[in-house]
Amino acid sequence: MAHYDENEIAKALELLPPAPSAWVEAAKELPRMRSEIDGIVGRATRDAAYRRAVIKAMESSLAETNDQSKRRSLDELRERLAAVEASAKDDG
Amino acid sequence: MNTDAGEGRATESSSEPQAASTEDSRLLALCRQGDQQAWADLVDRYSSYVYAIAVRGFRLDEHAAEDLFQDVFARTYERLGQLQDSGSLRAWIGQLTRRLAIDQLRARRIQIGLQEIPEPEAVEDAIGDIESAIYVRETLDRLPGPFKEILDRFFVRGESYRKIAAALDVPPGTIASRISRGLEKLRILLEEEEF
Repeated sequence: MAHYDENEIAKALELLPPAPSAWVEAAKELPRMRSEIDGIVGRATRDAAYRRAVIKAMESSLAETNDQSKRRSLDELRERLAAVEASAKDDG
Repeated sequence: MNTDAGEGRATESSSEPQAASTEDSRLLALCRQGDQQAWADLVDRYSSYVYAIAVRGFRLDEHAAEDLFQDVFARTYERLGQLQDSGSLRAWIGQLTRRLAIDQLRARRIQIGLQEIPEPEAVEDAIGDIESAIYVRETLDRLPGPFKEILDRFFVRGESYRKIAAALDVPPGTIASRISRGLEKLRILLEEEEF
């Protein structure tokens, strides 16, 4: 049988502080955020005017926000819209 | 250190309690069905583990640790369909966190030339301590509610006697004795689990 010292148990518990709640909440929002991005990209693929409007709004938001979580979502959207743009240019 | 851990396989850790694997399998199955609450539970279950590896194992600063944290969960979400039910999700997430942390440290060293990559032995020692702490933490979850809560508040969340007493509506003078009794119960439970 293993023997545990209560001081060691206390130290072990102290070794695992909770992650910042904003980080945890952002990670939990991942499915919803991905679903929203999929919807935007889907429509932007079919609708060039919508795509241009989204890109403009997105670049403006990126320039303004200091929220790292929001920036991460916008970066992902920008990357996917860039691929849509490139594909549309190839087709056109 | 092996930084080429396969991202599609989760391997069983012989020291992991069976209950943890069962819970992982349950959460994975629900996540694959699109259950957002199961995903939130999975994030809750592993958030402090990933955070501890980032800040205590690799000693990342706050900004880098947040990037790593989100990247780990994003990749976990993307690979839900590839993870094996029977394996240990924790082992897989631990390997993924290590690999991404090393990638990030290398990239930052190239970019800004400031942060050194910690010695692998030091990282592994720190992560070994974290793994042991996870086991203690999981055992804590099996303590009766009042003891679990008081130990969690005091040791994990770093709350003061006064704050705990106010939250639990008990005299501050009783907190120390409850912590002591809680630690004793946790020690007995840990020793029984390992027998």
